[in-house]
Amino acid sequence: MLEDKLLVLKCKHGDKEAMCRLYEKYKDYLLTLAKGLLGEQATAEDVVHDVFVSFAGLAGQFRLKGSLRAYLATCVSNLARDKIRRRTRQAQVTDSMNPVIQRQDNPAQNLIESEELTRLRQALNQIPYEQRETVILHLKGGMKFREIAGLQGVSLSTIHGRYRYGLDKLRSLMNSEVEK
Amino acid sequence: MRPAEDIRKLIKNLNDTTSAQMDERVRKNMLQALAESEKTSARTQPRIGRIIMKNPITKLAAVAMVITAVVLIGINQFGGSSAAYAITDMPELLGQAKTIHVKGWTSALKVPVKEEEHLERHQVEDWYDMENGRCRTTGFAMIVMMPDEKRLLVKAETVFDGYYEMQINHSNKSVTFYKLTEFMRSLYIRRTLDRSLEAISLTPEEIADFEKVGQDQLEGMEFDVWEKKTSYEQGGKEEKFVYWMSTILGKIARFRSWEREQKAEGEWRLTSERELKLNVVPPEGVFETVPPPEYTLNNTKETASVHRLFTQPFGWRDSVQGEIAIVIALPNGVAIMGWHAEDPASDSAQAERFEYLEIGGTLPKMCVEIAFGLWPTYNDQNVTYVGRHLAETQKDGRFYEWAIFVPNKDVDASRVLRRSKVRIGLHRDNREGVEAEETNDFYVETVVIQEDEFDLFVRGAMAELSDERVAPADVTYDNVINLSGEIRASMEE
Repeated sequence: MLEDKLLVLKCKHGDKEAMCRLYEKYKDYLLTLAKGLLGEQATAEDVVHDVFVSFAGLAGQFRLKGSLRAYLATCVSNLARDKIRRRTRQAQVTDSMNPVIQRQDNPAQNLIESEELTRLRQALNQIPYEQRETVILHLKGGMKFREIAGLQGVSLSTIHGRYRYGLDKLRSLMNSEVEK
Repeated sequence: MRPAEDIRKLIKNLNDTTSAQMDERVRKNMLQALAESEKTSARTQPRIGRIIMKNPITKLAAVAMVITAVVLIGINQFGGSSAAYAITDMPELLGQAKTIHVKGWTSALKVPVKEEEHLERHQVEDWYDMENGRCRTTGFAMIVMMPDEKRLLVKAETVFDGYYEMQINHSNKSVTFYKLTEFMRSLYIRRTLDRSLEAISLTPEEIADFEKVGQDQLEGMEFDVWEKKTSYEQGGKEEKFVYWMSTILGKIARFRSWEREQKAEGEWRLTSERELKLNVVPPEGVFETVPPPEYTLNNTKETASVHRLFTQPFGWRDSVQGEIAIVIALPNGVAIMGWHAEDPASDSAQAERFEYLEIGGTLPKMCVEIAFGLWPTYNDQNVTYVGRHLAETQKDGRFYEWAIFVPNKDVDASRVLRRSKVRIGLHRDNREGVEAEETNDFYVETVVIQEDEFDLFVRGAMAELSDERVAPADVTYDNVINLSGEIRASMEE
């Protein structure tokens, strides 16, 4: 936490090294979150790119309240939601096939990952976005339910419900995959 | 059927890494945005200023604008009600400062003192370099010598230059050096903010108890006055802590404390006062570990012993000795405590006591037992903790027990657990069912860490207290969280 505060302070004064250190520290964490939310490598990379570029652009006026990690995770989540909305609109306009399971962009990545993780990613893409966001932000993002409730603008009990339903749905999707 | 726990583990195992192309693209655009941000915030303003001041018409308008701005700032600062900060923001705001300078006096010494000692004021001056973790602090200790109760006041200064700690005893004019391992340096630097908050008696666990009681002016500026009263059952004392805080600038300018006899409800007696300044350039050499001239050196940097962890030693009748080496808490209140205890008279086979321990099983039966581990002393005293064995390490012939303490519900460790009580029982006959001979309570400071600091501080502390300088492989953040979940579930059963 203290290290983050110092890095943010240095970024405010235009310190490039501090900015790069922040990127190094959080890039993989944020990419994992973004990919968990969006399911696509390329779009996830764009989100992480946009988060860091906009953070750097506003560094001069930035004031850190709370944890930087949670702040960046919130930025990723907001941008990912925008992308999902845009994607949904685009899908409606083009009247596409509306595929339920998004395929991985990078076949090499698929080979590296265990089969189980690949199935998990596919299952994640099948559950409603709000549930996916709750599960990912809590389990992978380390965010508290209260913080996620604030982010989604819903009550704490709704978040508990989304988390529980999300996990149940993931479990049943993955079990059905196994049974196949 | 796959259990839900598996899904949770799988999600936690998701781990994507950025490609070199992405790194290059982000770095390029990010640094360009950073440079542009700096340009627009710093460089454009003087240029616009120069253009305005060259033109006689705009010059007049500029003067008028400056006057308006001064009036507006005046309204805002001297009578405005736009409260931007509350006292609960202070720890964070202090954490963002580059330096903190605390100056004032104290008369309250934390042992029973005589009336005349209350009236004596002792000067205090602390400097904190928040960016590099260096500090220079003043401390006092009142030593009461028995049986004649002769009192000796010791004034001491501690200087930490980032590598060495120099302790100056001004009473006997002597200096002692300590060197810090890499782990201790990280821990020391990590606790800089805690130490600066302690210097003004402002700790996160108590901060929510303050209430705004009015406003006051200091040097023509308006400050909110925040107050908290605390009464102590033992000694029948009541204390009052008051802070002058600017809600606009988000800084505390003054701190005062008072004390009175609770029963008599007599007059409040001023016991300490501090003035605070943030981001002041420290005097040259203030953080240098150079001994004052003509002071006796107890050792040198070359011969300095290694600084120990922030330990809480305990002992009985000159034989049983031990210490709580460190307590580290995760944000949800799960705490890990490293400690050891030996009884040279009867405790010759410690190894046997550690041989059959299991992760998550009962704590080892030693000459001393943790009779009541972690007892939060603030806010939520109804939290119940259960202690279980997590790991053990060995250093210099001592066995260190690393116990995990799990609360029956999630708690905000930074508010509840920073200072805890541990009840330790002397247990020479450590067979099952035999009660401890006697117990003692100890207060321990807890280092509250974030998830990403687990390896640095938890595994780091374990490695520090191990001959091989390696932490047990099983002790990972995920394992500790899983284990604490199981322990809590067993408590519910």
